[in-house]
Amino acid sequence: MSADSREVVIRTYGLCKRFGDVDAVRDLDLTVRRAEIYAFLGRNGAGKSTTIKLMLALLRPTSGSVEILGHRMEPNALRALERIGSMVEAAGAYGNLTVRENLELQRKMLGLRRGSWVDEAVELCGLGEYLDRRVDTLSLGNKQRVGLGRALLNKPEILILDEPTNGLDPAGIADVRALLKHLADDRGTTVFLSSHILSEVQQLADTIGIIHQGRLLEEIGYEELRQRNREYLEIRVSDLKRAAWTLEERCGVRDYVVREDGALRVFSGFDRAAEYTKALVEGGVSVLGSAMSEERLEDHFMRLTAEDERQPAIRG
Amino acid sequence: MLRAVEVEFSKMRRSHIPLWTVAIVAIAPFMTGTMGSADRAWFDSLTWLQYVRLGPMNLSTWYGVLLLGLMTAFTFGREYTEGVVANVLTTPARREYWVLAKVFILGVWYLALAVLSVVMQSAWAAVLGKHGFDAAGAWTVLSDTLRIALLLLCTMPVVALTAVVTRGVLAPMILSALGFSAGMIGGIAGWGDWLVWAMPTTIAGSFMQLEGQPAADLATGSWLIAIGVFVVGLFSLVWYVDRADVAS
Repeated sequence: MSADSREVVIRTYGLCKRFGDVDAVRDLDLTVRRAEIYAFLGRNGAGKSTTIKLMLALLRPTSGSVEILGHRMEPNALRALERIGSMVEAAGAYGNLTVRENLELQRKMLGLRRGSWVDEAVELCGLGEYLDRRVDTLSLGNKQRVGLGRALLNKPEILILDEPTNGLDPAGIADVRALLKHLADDRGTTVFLSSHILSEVQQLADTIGIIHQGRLLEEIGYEELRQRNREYLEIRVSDLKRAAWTLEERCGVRDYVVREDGALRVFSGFDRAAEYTKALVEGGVSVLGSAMSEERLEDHFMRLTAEDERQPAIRG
Repeated sequence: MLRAVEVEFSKMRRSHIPLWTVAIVAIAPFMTGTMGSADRAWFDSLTWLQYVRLGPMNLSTWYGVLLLGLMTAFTFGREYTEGVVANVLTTPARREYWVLAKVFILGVWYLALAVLSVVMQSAWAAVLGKHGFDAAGAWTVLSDTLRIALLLLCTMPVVALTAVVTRGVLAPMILSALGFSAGMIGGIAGWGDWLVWAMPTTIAGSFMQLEGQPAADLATGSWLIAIGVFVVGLFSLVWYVDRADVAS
Protein backbone atom coordinates (compact mmCIF):
# COMPACT_ATOMS: atom_id res chain seq x y z
CA MET A 1 0.00 0.00 0.00
CA SER A 2 1.47 3.39 -0.84
CA ALA A 3 1.66 5.87 1.99
CA ASP A 4 -0.57 8.36 0.24
CA SER A 5 -3.57 6.02 0.11
CA ARG A 6 -3.75 5.73 3.88
CA GLU A 7 -6.21 7.74 5.92
CA VAL A 8 -4.92 11.03 7.26
CA VAL A 9 -5.32 11.01 11.04
CA ILE A 10 -3.45 14.18 12.01
CA ARG A 11 -3.43 17.32 9.96
CA THR A 12 -2.37 20.84 10.83
CA TYR A 13 -3.43 23.82 8.78
CA GLY A 14 -1.16 26.86 8.73
CA LEU A 15 -0.39 26.39 12.40
CA CYS A 16 1.29 29.37 14.03
CA LYS A 17 2.25 30.10 17.62
CA ARG A 18 3.84 33.31 18.75
CA PHE A 19 5.20 33.95 22.25
CA GLY A 20 5.71 37.70 22.53
CA ASP A 21 8.10 38.57 19.72
CA VAL A 22 9.15 34.99 19.07
CA ASP A 23 7.53 32.87 16.38
CA ALA A 24 7.80 29.41 17.92
CA VAL A 25 5.84 27.74 15.12
CA ARG A 26 5.23 29.25 11.72
CA ASP A 27 2.70 28.22 9.11
CA LEU A 28 3.02 24.53 9.81
CA ASP A 29 1.18 22.07 7.59
CA LEU A 30 1.69 18.51 8.79
CA THR A 31 0.07 15.36 7.50
CA VAL A 32 0.24 12.12 9.44
CA ARG A 33 -1.31 8.94 8.10
CA ARG A 34 -2.80 5.98 9.90
CA ALA A 35 -0.45 3.33 11.30
CA GLU A 36 2.70 5.15 10.33
CA ILE A 37 5.53 6.18 12.58
CA TYR A 38 6.08 9.85 11.99
CA ALA A 39 9.34 11.25 13.32
CA PHE A 40 9.31 14.97 13.94
CA LEU A 41 12.91 16.09 13.88
CA GLY A 42 14.45 19.33 14.95
CA ARG A 43 17.19 20.82 17.01
CA ASN A 44 16.53 21.93 20.57
CA GLY A 45 14.23 24.93 20.43
CA ALA A 46 13.13 24.25 16.86
CA GLY A 47 9.45 24.16 17.84
CA LYS A 48 8.83 20.42 18.28
CA SER A 49 7.37 20.54 21.79
CA THR A 50 5.32 23.63 20.99
CA THR A 51 3.85 21.85 17.99
CA ILE A 52 2.95 18.83 20.11
CA LYS A 53 1.33 21.03 22.74
CA LEU A 54 -0.65 22.77 20.02
CA MET A 55 -1.76 19.38 18.73
CA LEU A 56 -2.98 18.39 22.18
CA ALA A 57 -4.68 21.75 22.80
CA LEU A 58 -2.36 22.56 25.67
CA LEU A 59 -1.51 25.74 23.82
CA ARG A 60 -3.85 27.88 21.76
CA PRO A 61 -2.62 28.56 18.25
CA THR A 62 -2.04 32.16 17.26
CA SER A 63 -3.54 31.14 13.94
CA GLY A 64 -4.25 27.92 12.07
CA SER A 65 -5.73 24.74 13.45
CA VAL A 66 -5.14 21.07 14.22
CA GLU A 67 -7.42 18.22 13.25
CA ILE A 68 -6.98 14.77 14.75
CA LEU A 69 -9.19 11.84 13.75
CA GLY A 70 -11.56 14.32 12.16
CA HIS A 71 -11.93 16.43 15.30
CA ARG A 72 -10.69 19.97 15.59
CA MET A 73 -8.38 20.05 18.58
CA GLU A 74 -9.33 22.54 21.25
CA PRO A 75 -9.67 22.29 25.03
CA ASN A 76 -12.19 19.59 25.92
CA ALA A 77 -11.96 17.91 22.52
CA LEU A 78 -12.92 14.80 24.45
CA ARG A 79 -13.88 12.57 21.53
CA ALA A 80 -10.45 12.92 20.03
CA LEU A 81 -8.60 12.70 23.35
CA GLU A 82 -10.33 9.38 24.11
CA ARG A 83 -8.44 7.88 21.16
CA ILE A 84 -5.08 9.52 21.78
CA GLY A 85 -2.29 8.56 24.14
CA SER A 86 0.33 11.17 24.81
CA MET A 87 3.47 11.88 26.72
CA VAL A 88 4.61 15.46 26.82
CA GLU A 89 7.89 16.74 28.21
CA ALA A 90 9.21 14.90 31.23
CA ALA A 91 6.58 12.17 31.51
CA GLY A 92 5.33 13.61 34.78
CA ALA A 93 3.93 11.28 37.39
CA TYR A 94 2.97 11.74 41.02
CA GLY A 95 6.15 11.09 42.97
CA ASN A 96 4.35 10.20 46.19
CA LEU A 97 2.50 7.34 44.48
CA THR A 98 3.82 3.99 43.33
CA VAL A 99 4.00 3.02 39.67
CA ARG A 100 0.90 0.87 40.13
CA GLU A 101 -0.99 3.72 41.80
CA ASN A 102 -0.01 6.14 39.05
CA LEU A 103 -1.28 3.75 36.41
CA GLU A 104 -4.47 3.11 38.39
CA LEU A 105 -4.95 6.86 38.70
CA GLN A 106 -4.65 7.24 34.96
CA ARG A 107 -7.07 4.36 34.47
CA LYS A 108 -9.60 6.16 36.66
CA MET A 109 -9.03 9.44 34.87
CA LEU A 110 -9.70 7.69 31.60
CA GLY A 111 -12.84 6.14 33.01
CA LEU A 112 -11.69 2.62 32.16
CA ARG A 113 -13.02 -0.35 34.06
CA ARG A 114 -10.65 -2.49 36.08
CA GLY A 115 -9.18 -5.03 33.73
CA SER A 116 -6.23 -6.00 31.69
CA TRP A 117 -5.26 -2.55 30.46
CA VAL A 118 -2.91 -1.82 33.32
CA ASP A 119 -1.35 -5.30 33.16
CA GLU A 120 -0.83 -4.98 29.44
CA ALA A 121 0.76 -1.55 29.70
CA VAL A 122 3.01 -2.85 32.48
CA GLU A 123 4.12 -5.74 30.33
CA LEU A 124 4.64 -3.65 27.20
CA CYS A 125 6.75 -1.09 29.04
CA GLY A 126 8.67 -3.55 31.20
CA LEU A 127 7.43 -2.04 34.44
CA GLY A 128 6.75 -5.30 36.27
CA GLU A 129 9.58 -5.12 38.75
CA TYR A 130 8.93 -1.47 39.63
CA LEU A 131 5.18 -1.67 40.22
CA ASP A 132 5.31 -1.15 43.98
CA ARG A 133 8.05 1.43 43.99
CA ARG A 134 7.30 5.09 44.50
CA VAL A 135 7.87 7.04 41.31
CA ASP A 136 10.17 9.54 43.01
CA THR A 137 12.63 6.70 43.69
CA LEU A 138 12.88 5.69 40.02
CA SER A 139 15.58 6.63 37.54
CA LEU A 140 14.76 9.11 34.79
CA GLY A 141 14.59 6.30 32.26
CA ASN A 142 12.12 4.32 34.32
CA LYS A 143 10.00 7.41 34.90
CA GLN A 144 9.93 7.68 31.12
CA ARG A 145 8.62 4.10 30.98
CA VAL A 146 5.88 5.02 33.44
CA GLY A 147 4.92 7.92 31.18
CA LEU A 148 4.78 5.56 28.22
CA GLY A 149 2.70 3.09 30.21
CA ARG A 150 0.22 5.82 31.08
CA ALA A 151 0.02 6.86 27.45
CA LEU A 152 -0.82 3.30 26.41
CA LEU A 153 -3.56 2.63 28.95
CA ASN A 154 -6.48 3.53 26.71
CA LYS A 155 -5.13 1.46 23.80
CA PRO A 156 -4.82 4.62 21.74
CA GLU A 157 -5.19 4.79 17.99
CA ILE A 158 -2.67 7.61 18.00
CA LEU A 159 0.36 7.98 20.23
CA ILE A 160 1.87 11.44 20.47
CA LEU A 161 5.24 11.35 22.21
CA ASP A 162 7.60 14.21 22.94
CA GLU A 163 11.18 12.94 23.05
CA PRO A 164 10.15 9.48 24.34
CA THR A 165 13.67 8.14 24.73
CA ASN A 166 15.03 11.01 26.82
CA GLY A 167 16.97 9.61 29.73
CA LEU A 168 16.88 6.01 28.56
CA ASP A 169 20.01 3.90 28.33
CA PRO A 170 20.86 2.21 24.99
CA ALA A 171 18.98 -0.95 25.96
CA GLY A 172 15.98 1.13 27.00
CA ILE A 173 16.08 3.02 23.71
CA ALA A 174 16.09 -0.27 21.81
CA ASP A 175 13.12 -1.47 23.91
CA VAL A 176 11.12 1.66 23.15
CA ARG A 177 11.98 1.35 19.48
CA ALA A 178 10.77 -2.25 19.44
CA LEU A 179 7.62 -1.30 21.34
CA LEU A 180 6.70 1.49 18.96
CA LYS A 181 7.40 -0.73 15.97
CA HIS A 182 5.19 -3.44 17.47
CA LEU A 183 2.37 -0.96 18.13
CA ALA A 184 2.47 0.40 14.61
CA ASP A 185 2.91 -2.91 12.79
CA ASP A 186 0.72 -5.21 14.87
CA ARG A 187 -1.91 -2.90 16.26
CA GLY A 188 -2.08 -0.26 13.58
CA THR A 189 -1.27 2.48 16.09
CA THR A 190 -0.16 5.74 14.56
CA VAL A 191 2.93 7.05 16.31
CA PHE A 192 3.94 10.70 16.16
CA LEU A 193 7.19 11.26 18.00
CA SER A 194 9.57 14.14 18.28
CA SER A 195 13.28 13.67 18.60
CA HIS A 196 16.58 15.38 18.12
CA ILE A 197 18.46 12.09 18.11
CA LEU A 198 18.56 11.22 14.45
CA SER A 199 20.12 7.79 14.75
CA GLU A 200 17.12 6.66 16.80
CA VAL A 201 14.64 7.77 14.22
CA GLN A 202 16.58 6.41 11.27
CA GLN A 203 15.74 2.85 12.30
CA LEU A 204 12.12 3.51 13.06
CA ALA A 205 10.34 6.14 11.05
CA ASP A 206 8.09 5.74 8.03
CA THR A 207 7.82 9.48 7.54
CA ILE A 208 10.08 12.27 8.66
CA GLY A 209 9.17 15.88 9.24
CA ILE A 210 12.02 18.30 9.74
CA ILE A 211 11.29 21.49 11.65
CA HIS A 212 13.73 24.34 11.97
CA GLN A 213 13.14 27.69 13.61
CA GLY A 214 9.43 26.92 13.75
CA ARG A 215 9.05 26.07 10.05
CA LEU A 216 8.51 22.67 8.52
CA LEU A 217 11.38 22.34 6.07
CA GLU A 218 10.47 18.97 4.71
CA GLU A 219 8.02 16.13 5.15
CA ILE A 220 9.16 13.02 3.39
CA GLY A 221 8.74 9.27 3.51
CA TYR A 222 11.85 7.64 4.85
CA GLU A 223 11.89 5.17 1.98
CA GLU A 224 11.74 8.02 -0.50
CA LEU A 225 14.54 9.73 1.33
CA ARG A 226 16.60 6.58 1.18
CA GLN A 227 15.94 6.17 -2.52
CA ARG A 228 17.00 9.65 -3.29
CA ASN A 229 19.95 9.52 -0.93
CA ARG A 230 22.23 12.03 -2.36
CA GLU A 231 25.78 11.31 -3.15
CA TYR A 232 28.31 13.89 -2.25
CA LEU A 233 31.92 14.71 -2.69
CA GLU A 234 33.60 15.25 0.64
CA ILE A 235 36.69 17.41 0.55
CA ARG A 236 38.79 17.72 3.67
CA VAL A 237 40.65 21.02 3.76
CA SER A 238 42.94 23.07 5.96
CA ASP A 239 40.86 26.27 5.92
CA LEU A 240 37.10 25.85 5.67
CA LYS A 241 36.22 29.49 5.32
CA ARG A 242 38.64 30.13 2.49
CA ALA A 243 37.70 26.85 0.84
CA ALA A 244 34.01 27.76 0.85
CA TRP A 245 34.77 31.18 -0.59
CA THR A 246 37.02 29.69 -3.27
CA LEU A 247 34.46 27.11 -4.36
CA GLU A 248 31.70 29.70 -4.58
CA GLU A 249 33.71 32.42 -6.29
CA ARG A 250 35.96 30.42 -8.59
CA CYS A 251 33.82 27.39 -9.38
CA GLY A 252 30.29 28.76 -8.85
CA VAL A 253 29.43 25.97 -6.40
CA ARG A 254 26.29 26.70 -4.36
CA ASP A 255 25.03 23.22 -3.36
CA TYR A 256 27.40 22.42 -0.52
CA VAL A 257 27.61 22.35 3.25
CA VAL A 258 30.43 23.16 5.61
CA ARG A 259 30.98 20.51 8.25
CA GLU A 260 32.40 21.21 11.67
CA ASP A 261 34.86 18.34 11.28
CA GLY A 262 36.98 20.22 8.73
CA ALA A 263 35.24 19.00 5.58
CA LEU A 264 33.10 20.45 2.83
CA ARG A 265 30.40 18.38 1.18
CA VAL A 266 29.54 19.22 -2.39
CA PHE A 267 26.32 17.73 -3.73
CA SER A 268 26.63 18.36 -7.45
CA GLY A 269 29.17 18.66 -10.24
CA PHE A 270 31.12 15.56 -9.26
CA ASP A 271 32.72 15.43 -12.71
CA ARG A 272 34.42 18.71 -11.82
CA ALA A 273 36.17 17.24 -8.76
CA ALA A 274 39.59 17.81 -10.22
CA GLU A 275 38.72 21.41 -11.04
CA TYR A 276 37.61 21.99 -7.43
CA THR A 277 40.86 20.58 -6.07
CA LYS A 278 42.91 22.73 -8.41
CA ALA A 279 40.95 25.87 -7.54
CA LEU A 280 41.37 25.22 -3.85
CA VAL A 281 45.10 24.67 -4.10
CA GLU A 282 45.48 27.80 -6.23
CA GLY A 283 43.41 29.65 -3.64
CA GLY A 284 45.92 28.73 -0.94
CA VAL A 285 43.89 25.93 0.66
CA SER A 286 45.53 22.61 1.41
CA VAL A 287 43.37 19.68 0.29
CA LEU A 288 43.84 16.91 2.85
CA GLY A 289 41.69 14.39 1.04
CA SER A 290 38.53 13.92 -0.97
CA ALA A 291 36.08 11.06 -1.47
CA MET A 292 32.64 10.29 -2.82
CA SER A 293 30.04 9.21 -0.27
CA GLU A 294 26.29 8.85 0.35
CA GLU A 295 24.09 11.09 2.45
CA ARG A 296 22.63 9.72 5.65
CA LEU A 297 19.65 11.13 7.54
CA GLU A 298 21.92 13.15 9.77
CA ASP A 299 23.64 14.66 6.76
CA HIS A 300 20.31 15.38 5.15
CA PHE A 301 19.08 17.08 8.30
CA MET A 302 22.23 19.15 8.68
CA ARG A 303 22.16 20.22 5.06
CA LEU A 304 18.51 21.23 5.13
CA THR A 305 18.81 23.25 8.32
CA ALA A 306 22.05 24.84 7.16
CA GLU A 307 20.45 25.84 3.88
CA ASP A 308 17.52 27.31 5.77
CA GLU A 309 19.86 29.41 7.88
CA ARG A 310 21.53 30.74 4.74
CA GLN A 311 18.21 32.04 3.41
CA PRO A 312 16.99 34.61 5.91
CA ALA A 313 15.68 36.89 3.19
CA ILE A 314 13.40 34.22 1.75
CA ARG A 315 12.07 33.32 5.20
CA GLY A 316 11.30 36.92 6.07
CA MET B 1 -17.38 14.72 38.02
CA LEU B 2 -17.45 11.96 40.67
CA ARG B 3 -14.58 10.30 38.85
CA ALA B 4 -12.59 13.53 39.05
CA VAL B 5 -13.28 13.76 42.79
CA GLU B 6 -12.20 10.16 43.30
CA VAL B 7 -9.00 10.82 41.37
CA GLU B 8 -8.24 13.92 43.43
CA PHE B 9 -8.68 11.93 46.65
CA SER B 10 -6.37 9.20 45.30
CA LYS B 11 -3.65 11.73 44.55
CA MET B 12 -3.38 12.59 48.25
CA ARG B 13 -2.33 9.11 49.23
CA ARG B 14 0.95 9.19 51.17
CA SER B 15 1.18 12.97 50.79
CA HIS B 16 2.60 14.69 53.82
CA ILE B 17 0.66 17.92 53.48
CA PRO B 18 -2.71 16.58 54.75
CA LEU B 19 -0.94 15.18 57.82
CA TRP B 20 0.83 18.47 58.40
CA THR B 21 -2.46 20.38 58.27
CA VAL B 22 -4.00 18.02 60.82
CA ALA B 23 -0.92 18.43 63.02
CA ILE B 24 -1.11 22.23 62.81
CA VAL B 25 -4.78 22.26 63.76
CA ALA B 26 -4.18 19.79 66.57
CA ILE B 27 -1.29 21.79 68.01
CA ALA B 28 -2.84 25.26 67.59
CA PRO B 29 -4.94 25.09 70.81
CA PHE B 30 -1.81 24.13 72.75
CA MET B 31 -0.03 27.15 71.27
CA THR B 32 -2.98 29.30 72.36
CA GLY B 33 -2.56 28.00 75.87
CA THR B 34 1.19 28.57 75.86
CA MET B 35 0.91 32.11 74.52
CA GLY B 36 -2.07 32.91 76.70
CA SER B 37 -0.26 31.82 79.83
CA ALA B 38 2.05 34.83 79.42
CA ASP B 39 -0.78 36.77 81.06
CA ARG B 40 -1.33 34.26 83.83
CA ALA B 41 -4.17 36.05 85.61
CA TRP B 42 -6.14 36.49 82.39
CA PHE B 43 -5.47 32.93 81.29
CA ASP B 44 -6.53 31.47 84.62
CA SER B 45 -9.75 33.47 84.56
CA LEU B 46 -10.92 31.93 81.27
CA THR B 47 -13.83 29.55 81.51
CA TRP B 48 -14.06 26.42 79.37
CA LEU B 49 -16.27 28.20 76.83
CA GLN B 50 -14.10 31.31 76.69
CA TYR B 51 -11.09 29.14 76.04
CA VAL B 52 -12.89 27.23 73.28
CA ARG B 53 -13.96 30.52 71.72
CA LEU B 54 -10.30 31.34 71.15
CA GLY B 55 -10.31 28.59 68.49
CA PRO B 56 -12.28 30.42 65.78
CA MET B 57 -10.47 33.61 66.72
CA ASN B 58 -7.13 31.99 65.98
CA LEU B 59 -8.47 30.39 62.84
CA SER B 60 -9.71 33.74 61.57
CA THR B 61 -6.77 35.88 62.48
CA TRP B 62 -3.66 33.85 61.93
CA TYR B 63 -3.20 30.26 60.91
CA GLY B 64 -6.51 29.80 59.06
CA VAL B 65 -5.62 31.95 56.05
CA LEU B 66 -2.09 30.62 55.79
CA LEU B 67 -3.24 27.04 56.21
CA LEU B 68 -5.78 27.37 53.42
CA GLY B 69 -3.12 29.03 51.26
CA LEU B 70 -0.80 26.09 51.82
CA MET B 71 -3.52 23.59 51.00
CA THR B 72 -4.60 25.45 47.86
CA ALA B 73 -1.04 25.92 46.65
CA PHE B 74 -0.41 22.22 47.17
CA THR B 75 -3.62 21.08 45.49
CA PHE B 76 -3.39 23.29 42.41
CA GLY B 77 0.31 24.03 42.20
CA ARG B 78 1.66 20.49 42.51
CA GLU B 79 0.34 19.52 39.06
CA TYR B 80 2.73 22.12 37.67
CA THR B 81 5.69 21.55 39.97
CA GLU B 82 5.54 17.77 39.38
CA GLY B 83 5.13 18.26 35.63
CA VAL B 84 1.88 16.32 35.54
CA VAL B 85 -0.42 19.03 34.27
CA ALA B 86 0.02 18.14 30.59
CA ASN B 87 -1.06 14.57 31.29
CA VAL B 88 -4.03 15.69 33.35
CA LEU B 89 -5.29 18.13 30.73
CA THR B 90 -4.92 15.69 27.85
CA THR B 91 -7.06 13.01 29.43
CA PRO B 92 -10.58 12.90 28.06
CA ALA B 93 -12.26 14.59 31.00
CA ARG B 94 -13.63 18.10 31.06
CA ARG B 95 -11.17 20.59 32.46
CA GLU B 96 -13.92 22.23 34.53
CA TYR B 97 -14.32 18.96 36.40
CA TRP B 98 -10.64 18.97 37.23
CA VAL B 99 -11.01 22.44 38.77
CA LEU B 100 -14.31 21.75 40.50
CA ALA B 101 -13.07 18.46 41.95
CA LYS B 102 -10.09 20.25 43.48
CA VAL B 103 -12.33 23.00 44.87
CA PHE B 104 -14.61 20.35 46.32
CA ILE B 105 -11.72 18.47 47.91
CA LEU B 106 -10.34 21.67 49.41
CA GLY B 107 -13.77 22.57 50.77
CA VAL B 108 -14.25 19.19 52.45
CA TRP B 109 -10.68 19.16 53.73
CA TYR B 110 -10.86 22.67 55.19
CA LEU B 111 -14.28 22.24 56.79
CA ALA B 112 -13.07 18.99 58.35
CA LEU B 113 -10.06 20.86 59.76
CA ALA B 114 -12.37 23.57 61.10
CA VAL B 115 -14.41 20.95 62.96
CA LEU B 116 -11.20 19.36 64.19
CA SER B 117 -10.02 22.74 65.47
CA VAL B 118 -13.11 23.03 67.68
CA VAL B 119 -12.74 19.46 68.92
CA MET B 120 -9.08 19.98 69.74
CA GLN B 121 -9.73 23.36 71.35
CA SER B 122 -12.40 21.72 73.53
CA ALA B 123 -10.10 18.83 74.39
CA TRP B 124 -7.27 21.17 75.38
CA ALA B 125 -9.70 23.18 77.51
CA ALA B 126 -10.58 19.98 79.35
CA VAL B 127 -6.91 18.97 79.69
CA LEU B 128 -6.12 22.38 81.17
CA GLY B 129 -8.88 21.85 83.71
CA LYS B 130 -11.08 24.71 82.55
CA HIS B 131 -14.47 24.74 84.18
CA GLY B 132 -17.83 25.85 82.85
CA PHE B 133 -18.58 23.31 80.15
CA ASP B 134 -21.43 24.68 78.03
CA ALA B 135 -22.84 22.41 75.31
CA ALA B 136 -24.99 25.11 73.72
CA GLY B 137 -22.05 27.48 73.74
CA ALA B 138 -19.89 24.81 72.10
CA TRP B 139 -22.40 24.47 69.26
CA THR B 140 -22.28 28.24 68.76
CA VAL B 141 -18.49 28.09 68.56
CA LEU B 142 -18.73 25.26 66.03
CA SER B 143 -21.22 27.25 63.97
CA ASP B 144 -18.99 30.34 64.08
CA THR B 145 -15.96 28.29 63.13
CA LEU B 146 -17.70 26.74 60.13
CA ARG B 147 -18.91 30.17 58.98
CA ILE B 148 -15.37 31.48 59.27
CA ALA B 149 -14.10 28.52 57.30
CA LEU B 150 -16.72 29.16 54.61
CA LEU B 151 -15.71 32.82 54.41
CA LEU B 152 -12.06 31.89 53.99
CA LEU B 153 -12.99 29.29 51.38
CA CYS B 154 -14.58 32.11 49.40
CA THR B 155 -11.07 33.49 48.87
CA MET B 156 -9.66 30.13 47.80
CA PRO B 157 -10.36 30.35 44.02
CA VAL B 158 -8.32 33.54 43.84
CA VAL B 159 -5.38 31.77 45.48
CA ALA B 160 -5.90 28.77 43.19
CA LEU B 161 -5.93 31.06 40.15
CA THR B 162 -2.59 32.47 41.29
CA ALA B 163 -1.20 28.94 41.54
CA VAL B 164 -2.38 28.08 38.04
CA VAL B 165 -1.27 31.34 36.42
CA THR B 166 2.18 31.23 38.02
CA ARG B 167 2.41 27.42 37.67
CA GLY B 168 3.72 26.80 41.13
CA VAL B 169 3.25 27.06 44.87
CA LEU B 170 5.26 30.12 45.89
CA ALA B 171 3.03 32.89 44.51
CA PRO B 172 -0.19 31.53 46.05
CA MET B 173 1.57 31.28 49.41
CA ILE B 174 2.68 34.89 49.10
CA LEU B 175 -0.85 35.90 48.18
CA SER B 176 -2.15 34.07 51.25
CA ALA B 177 0.34 35.88 53.44
CA LEU B 178 -0.90 39.17 51.97
CA GLY B 179 -4.48 38.05 52.59
CA PHE B 180 -3.57 37.24 56.16
CA SER B 181 -2.02 40.70 56.62
CA ALA B 182 -5.02 42.37 55.00
CA GLY B 183 -7.31 40.43 57.33
CA MET B 184 -5.38 41.57 60.41
CA ILE B 185 -5.18 45.20 59.30
CA GLY B 186 -8.79 45.16 58.06
CA GLY B 187 -9.96 43.64 61.34
CA ILE B 188 -8.26 46.34 63.40
CA ALA B 189 -9.37 49.10 61.00
CA GLY B 190 -12.98 47.95 61.12
CA TRP B 191 -13.21 46.80 57.48
CA GLY B 192 -14.64 43.46 58.50
CA ASP B 193 -17.98 44.18 56.84
CA TRP B 194 -16.67 44.36 53.30
CA LEU B 195 -13.11 43.00 53.12
CA VAL B 196 -13.42 39.23 52.74
CA TRP B 197 -10.14 38.44 54.49
CA ALA B 198 -11.22 40.58 57.46
CA MET B 199 -14.79 39.26 57.70
CA PRO B 200 -13.84 36.25 59.85
CA THR B 201 -12.57 38.60 62.53
CA THR B 202 -16.05 40.10 62.77
CA ILE B 203 -17.62 36.70 63.42
CA ALA B 204 -14.88 35.64 65.81
CA GLY B 205 -14.90 39.01 67.51
CA SER B 206 -11.11 38.95 67.40
CA PHE B 207 -10.43 42.65 67.65
CA MET B 208 -13.77 43.66 69.11
CA GLN B 209 -12.99 41.68 72.19
CA LEU B 210 -9.85 43.73 72.57
CA GLU B 211 -12.16 46.71 72.89
CA GLY B 212 -14.58 44.85 75.12
CA GLN B 213 -17.21 44.49 72.39
CA PRO B 214 -18.99 41.20 71.73
CA ALA B 215 -18.62 39.27 68.47
CA ALA B 216 -21.00 40.44 65.76
CA ASP B 217 -22.86 38.80 62.93
CA LEU B 218 -22.15 39.61 59.33
CA ALA B 219 -24.83 41.44 57.39
CA THR B 220 -26.32 39.87 54.26
CA GLY B 221 -24.41 42.37 52.15
CA SER B 222 -21.13 41.07 53.54
CA TRP B 223 -22.05 37.51 52.65
CA LEU B 224 -22.98 38.64 49.15
CA ILE B 225 -19.56 40.24 48.79
CA ALA B 226 -17.89 37.02 49.95
CA ILE B 227 -19.97 34.86 47.61
CA GLY B 228 -19.26 37.33 44.79
CA VAL B 229 -15.51 36.96 45.38
CA PHE B 230 -15.91 33.18 45.29
CA VAL B 231 -18.00 33.14 42.11
CA VAL B 232 -15.79 35.60 40.22
CA GLY B 233 -12.67 33.75 41.39
CA LEU B 234 -14.07 30.37 40.38
CA PHE B 235 -15.23 31.56 36.95
CA SER B 236 -11.85 33.18 36.32
CA LEU B 237 -10.10 29.98 37.37
CA VAL B 238 -12.22 27.78 35.12
CA TRP B 239 -11.88 30.24 32.25
CA TYR B 240 -8.11 30.35 32.62
CA VAL B 241 -7.67 26.59 32.76
CA ASP B 242 -10.01 26.16 29.83
CA ARG B 243 -8.84 28.93 27.54
CA ALA B 244 -5.32 30.07 28.34
CA ASP B 245 -2.06 28.37 27.49
CA VAL B 246 -1.51 25.97 30.33
CA ALA B 247 1.95 24.76 29.41
CA SER B 248 4.70 26.37 27.45
